[in-house]
Amino acid sequence: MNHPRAVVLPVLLAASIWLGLSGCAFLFNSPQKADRSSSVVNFLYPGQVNPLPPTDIPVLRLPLRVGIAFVPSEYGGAGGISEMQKTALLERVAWEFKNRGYIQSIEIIPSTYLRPRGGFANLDQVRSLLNVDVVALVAYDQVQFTNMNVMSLVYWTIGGSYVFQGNKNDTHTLMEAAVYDIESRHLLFRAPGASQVQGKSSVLDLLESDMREESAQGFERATAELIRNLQLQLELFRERIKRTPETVKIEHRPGYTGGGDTGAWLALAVTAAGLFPWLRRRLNRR
Amino acid sequence: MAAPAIEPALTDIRSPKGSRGPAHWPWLTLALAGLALAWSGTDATAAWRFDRAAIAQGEWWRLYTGNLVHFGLGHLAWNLVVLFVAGTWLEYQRPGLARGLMASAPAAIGLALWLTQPELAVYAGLSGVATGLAALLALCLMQRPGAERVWGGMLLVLILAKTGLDCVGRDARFAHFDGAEIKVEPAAHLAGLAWAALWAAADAGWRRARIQGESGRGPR
Repeated sequence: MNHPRAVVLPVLLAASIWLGLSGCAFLFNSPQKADRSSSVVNFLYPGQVNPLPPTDIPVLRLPLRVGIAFVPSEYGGAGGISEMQKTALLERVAWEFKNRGYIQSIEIIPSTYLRPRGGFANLDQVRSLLNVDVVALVAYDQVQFTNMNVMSLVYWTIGGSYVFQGNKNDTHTLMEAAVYDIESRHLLFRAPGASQVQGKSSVLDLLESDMREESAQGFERATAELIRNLQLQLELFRERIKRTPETVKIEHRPGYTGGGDTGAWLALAVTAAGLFPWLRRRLNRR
Repeated sequence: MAAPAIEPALTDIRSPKGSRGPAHWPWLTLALAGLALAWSGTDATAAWRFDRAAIAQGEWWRLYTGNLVHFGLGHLAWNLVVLFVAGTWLEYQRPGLARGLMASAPAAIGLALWLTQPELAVYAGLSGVATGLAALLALCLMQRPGAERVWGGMLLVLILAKTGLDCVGRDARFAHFDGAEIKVEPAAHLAGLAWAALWAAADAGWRRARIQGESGRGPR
């Protein structure tokens, strides 16, 4: 009869190898996720639970000089999105601001100019350095679930919370562009974009290349939605500052666009004055 | 007491039937209105508007064409109403005077903006020409007897008040631009008014000289 240790040891060894190959996930079924993010709230209001809203009315001097930047990741570094991807995305956002009469220039702010949790003090530095009045801060949050789970993740945007529902191998991406008047600290408008890419692979054959591809796809789709919303918000903002002048004060600086408009009441007065002699003659004939 | 003088132009060019010939049809008004309508809110606005940088590079025709393009239909609408009513009336009653003003005002206004508003980068709009035409209409009405003189005076006061408000207000509150980024440019209205006043003064001087010449020759 063999010694029990001679049986137990090979069994334990085989079990260890099997466990290592199949992954702990099978045994413990624990949810796993790859998370990459940056947040406007954390960047602008670090350590503030209830930041006070600004009280002054923002004064916009048209045409505006706009800066566009990615909010730096809390963890530093690229934060899951490459510099090339960031530049391409910022150029797409910048394109939406171009060819608008009220915008004089668009400046893409290098990521090295902003530091994590830099707040408005950091934006003031950027304003002085790059001569911009308004900044569009682009933030993102991407979560890739690599196991079946019921886990959800809450992301705090500048406009409230957004809940990701976790599913097997899904990639959830949320992007946000928040446009601030730096001097008054006012949020002028924001535009979100979200996407959900459903994973093709099973847990066991999930490859890193698949995850990268799905991550890029997630950013692409979320950016497309962000751009659509940005177009809408830019138009709504134009309407808002015209219809409610008490919310934003408009001034014009050298290089402004001017227009000539006679106005409705002058047009009506001219029409009345032009028609009066004709009407009088008609009445006199009777 | 002598009755107020009636414009000779109102009575001396009528055809025997009392109507006026093609020389009095408002063809320049219709041409300008058609051009403004066709060029409104299209790429033509960018191609023809007053653009200081482009003008500095030699595209001098923008001084003129900037007055004929608009930023949108909302911007065009009231300018077109004033141009159509005042232009038609004046061209019918005083064709030479009206056409002289309409043809020359865009150049005069463009040049005035170029010289007096160095901070203005881009401009578009017919309102300078329209304001000038409205002022000329008011001055012509004021030369007529009775209630029309009062109407003309009231219209002139209204035009001056509106231009004054534009100068003081300096915002887009009363304008019909698509967005608040476009500032009402009162200099264009002032230039239109001044150009109309010059034409009216020149016309009055010419008519006075003609009357004096005729009275100097004596009855035939």
